[in-house]
Amino acid sequence: MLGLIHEAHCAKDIDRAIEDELASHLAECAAELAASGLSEQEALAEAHRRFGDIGAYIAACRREAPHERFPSLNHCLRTIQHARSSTALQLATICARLFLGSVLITIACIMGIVAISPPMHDSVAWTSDMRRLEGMLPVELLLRILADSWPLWSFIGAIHALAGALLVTQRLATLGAGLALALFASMFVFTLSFGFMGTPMLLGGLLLLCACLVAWDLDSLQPLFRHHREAIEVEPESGWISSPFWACLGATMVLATAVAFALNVAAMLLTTFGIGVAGVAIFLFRFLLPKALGRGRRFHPRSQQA
Amino acid sequence: MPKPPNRDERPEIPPGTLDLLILRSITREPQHGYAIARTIKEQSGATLLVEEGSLYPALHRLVRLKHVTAEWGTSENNRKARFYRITPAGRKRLAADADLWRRVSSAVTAVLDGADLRPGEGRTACSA
Repeated sequence: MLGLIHEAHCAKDIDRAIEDELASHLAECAAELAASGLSEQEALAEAHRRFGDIGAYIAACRREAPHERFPSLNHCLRTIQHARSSTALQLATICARLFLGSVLITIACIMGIVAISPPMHDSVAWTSDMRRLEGMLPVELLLRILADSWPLWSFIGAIHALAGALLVTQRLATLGAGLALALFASMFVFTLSFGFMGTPMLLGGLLLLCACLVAWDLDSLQPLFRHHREAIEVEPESGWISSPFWACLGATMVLATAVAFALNVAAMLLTTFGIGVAGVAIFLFRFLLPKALGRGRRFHPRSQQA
Repeated sequence: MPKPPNRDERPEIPPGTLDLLILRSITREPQHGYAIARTIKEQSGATLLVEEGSLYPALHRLVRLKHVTAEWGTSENNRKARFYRITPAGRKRLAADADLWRRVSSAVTAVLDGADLRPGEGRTACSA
């Protein structure tokens, strides 16, 4: 991530240095040609002609341009490319997606429970009856009013559910990770602002996990940052990580959570996390372990079949 | 003095030797890109002509590898220019590469001239 920020920040400086150096070279060459008898204009035109393809020069210099202070985006991408071939990291990524997806869907469901519960107070009345504020913390008041405001509360809940659903589908996990990063960042700042104890630590961990998931899919975000730079090709997720098994598991988790949500919060949490853990365990014992031991049924992911 | 070959008749710089030529050109004093190209041209009797399109990327690569450092200064013609200075790591590489080049070129010359090399003499790893 550091490399990404640095790359975006210093790309202009690198381009300026390359262009300045080109101008310096052409001026030196033109001066030498002018000294041999050519007019200033002819000398400059000849210097350009001798230099050749300026576009190719700029592209080649950009590829080779050094990044001395921080690792470059290319370096980060190559590291990610290497990491993506690790089975342990692939499994960790899937588990992280399922875990974060479950957390987000759970939050959405809890928000739903709060929203459908009968409003304790009329939010409009808060402004006229200040006595009702007695004994309530500011954050309690804020959350209560938010919960009573149906459109806003429902929208926030729906966005959480959407981010969670995108994460557990695996295929659209990059979108989900980006959305989750924004949601957890806002929650993190919220809890910090209202002096929550412990919660910012928990959210900080989730935020870090989201950042890791975004970094994992950094290759697909290259066009947002690289502009005219040549993109590094990173192999798309293939092998068992792209198996439809994970999308099915994710869909099952979302449906089961929605059903269990009708019962109570504890049942919902148990169902969601239970299915996730069971799914990973099934995959390990049914496909990965026999493959590692070199026996049993061979697992053919979609990409290999094609 | 023999007439230097035309631009199109000049031999291409053998692959892998451009870095060596650049490092050699800046061993005495820091030079800017245009001066490096001119030094190589003059010292080779106008036989070797460095293409600008490959010179500058090579310089940037050498900076990245920390074999040279670059800083902006003023050229002899009082123009802003980027000067390249060789580093201790660059000098080490120059010594190693120059030694390898001498052994390879003497071995190639020996083969071309039909001379027999004694076992072990001038032996070096040579990639295709």
